[in-house]
Amino acid sequence: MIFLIKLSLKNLARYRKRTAITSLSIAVGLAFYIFLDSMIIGSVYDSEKNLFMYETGHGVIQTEEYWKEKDLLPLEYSIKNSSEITAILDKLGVPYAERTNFSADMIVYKDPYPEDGNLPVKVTAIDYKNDSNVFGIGETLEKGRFPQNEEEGIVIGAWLAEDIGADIGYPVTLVTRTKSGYYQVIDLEITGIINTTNPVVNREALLIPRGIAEIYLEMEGSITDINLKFNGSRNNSKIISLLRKELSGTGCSFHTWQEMVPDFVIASEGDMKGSGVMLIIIFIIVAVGISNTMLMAIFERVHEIGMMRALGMKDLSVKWLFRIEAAGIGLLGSSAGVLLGVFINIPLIIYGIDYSKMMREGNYGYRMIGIMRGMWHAEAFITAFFAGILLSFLVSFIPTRRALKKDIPSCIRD
Amino acid sequence: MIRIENLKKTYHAGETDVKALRDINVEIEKGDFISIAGPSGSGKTTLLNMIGCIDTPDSGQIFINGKAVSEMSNNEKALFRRENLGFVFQSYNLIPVLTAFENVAFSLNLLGRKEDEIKNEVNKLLDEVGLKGMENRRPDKLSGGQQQRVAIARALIKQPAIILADEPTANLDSATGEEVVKLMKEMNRKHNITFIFSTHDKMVMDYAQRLILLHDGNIQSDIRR
Repeated sequence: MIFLIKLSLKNLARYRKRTAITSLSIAVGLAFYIFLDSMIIGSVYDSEKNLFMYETGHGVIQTEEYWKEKDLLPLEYSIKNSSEITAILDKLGVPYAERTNFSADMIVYKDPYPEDGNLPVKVTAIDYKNDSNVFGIGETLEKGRFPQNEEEGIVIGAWLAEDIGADIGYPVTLVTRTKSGYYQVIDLEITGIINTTNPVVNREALLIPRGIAEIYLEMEGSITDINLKFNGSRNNSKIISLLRKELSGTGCSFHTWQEMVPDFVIASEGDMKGSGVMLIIIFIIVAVGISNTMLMAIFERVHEIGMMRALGMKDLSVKWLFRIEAAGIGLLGSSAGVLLGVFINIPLIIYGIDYSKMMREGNYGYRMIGIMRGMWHAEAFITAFFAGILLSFLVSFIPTRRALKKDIPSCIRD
Repeated sequence: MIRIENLKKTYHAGETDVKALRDINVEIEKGDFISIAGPSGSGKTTLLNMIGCIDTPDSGQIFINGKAVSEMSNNEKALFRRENLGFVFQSYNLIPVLTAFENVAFSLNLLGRKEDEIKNEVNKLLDEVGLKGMENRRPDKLSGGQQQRVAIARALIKQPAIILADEPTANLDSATGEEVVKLMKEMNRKHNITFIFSTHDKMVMDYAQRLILLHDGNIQSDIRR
């Protein structure tokens, strides 16, 4: 076998240009896969971080009825016994933030705004101090301040402010319904503008003090959401199962962050699958390249194959000779591909690619603004490296069969 | 040593049947230096291929050292060739990426010999065939005559029972061709290896101790000198 490996390696050097071109095509394909994977993994990682920090935490507790109709934000199904739930969380040592989400119509008038308008919105009532147990909103204030607990102030997302032409001190009117279903109008003044790294928050956030919600929505001490943050693993299965056990019989249930943002989960899973499809396409290109290279090598060396067989080399050894050659091309291509992947990944991780315009324009499910950064993903490097070699080795099976199709006299004669 | 009985071979080219060997019966002794001669299409190469176990007869038998080689499986034939037969081809058929040394060592590599053993034997033989100092040259840096010497050394190195050479001088000028035949003759005498070679060349035939003349797949004459 060592002799076959040596001979195969010498043959690789024999067709330097061809070996280099085929290896390069493998390298470019694999590097592209590594690049794509790095971008997706990086985006997913950043998005998850931004989701936890500003939108979902690691999960939420809501009443079972509320969860079923959560898209309508039904205040009537809010958590009435929140102290009972928070006692469980204190016992388990899980940090939490109490929030109330409700729907409203936001009305703005020309002067000071550029024009009259109204907008259906989701408003979140938070306790700024308690909220920082889970969320990082407190550190994202771009302008102004957070209102006091019973102050009639509102904090809005930077993109929303830009879109409606709002600024600090501008009035906002919210038309909504109380928990009991009566219409209510809340007049507030913008006291702060937040700019987070989560595009959904920047585009949609309207935060008011929980004290104001308590008064105007007649919440009677109830809240709609208790968001949680798990220390250590974001999917702390042990704590989750304990929590679910404790919550049974309270009328409330726990839902993971994945259940809360299906749009993001679908987008990221779709992209992951997309990178898998890309890998398959790359592999098909690699397979065609290797197959073609091996066929050329075999046709050019028909004489040699005949001679080696005449001298007593077994057919299986001839096959192995070409398979090792193919694997060698795969090894060169994969090594170059991984190296190229590393070189592409370094600036991608340090500087990233600026997609801020795209992210500002539309919602793509990802929770990141501006710079999309790559990420080191050892699995992608290992997959690319070994798959490149294995694939090269496997696709050589078909051409090597051709090497032995002719009988020895025909090989020597042709 | 070699006994050929009623050997027949027909090639099919489209609708045409070409009878390459009609009914060959011949016996060859160990240490013979035999030339198989005849015009193109007389069956010289086919007969060599049959003896060399790289082609299969339609009927008839070939016995080498008592073994019916035509009945062997492909793998058995490969092993038999590896251990007992050496080949010299018209166009040398050296492996271009290997040096003269490595080309000669190829046969021993197939036999799984140890590196030290290979080194000693190959260097000794290259010296014997007049290629000392050219061990590290690749085929493209050798003349036609030198390449054929490498090919002869490659066939000889494993001390086979038989060396088969298909028109070994056809690609060489007459002086170089004579040198090559002289070398083959010397090796035949020195190592007592049976040489069977096909040729058109009268000069080459003159060196043979036995001349088998083929015509249309039949032995026309078998002259021992």
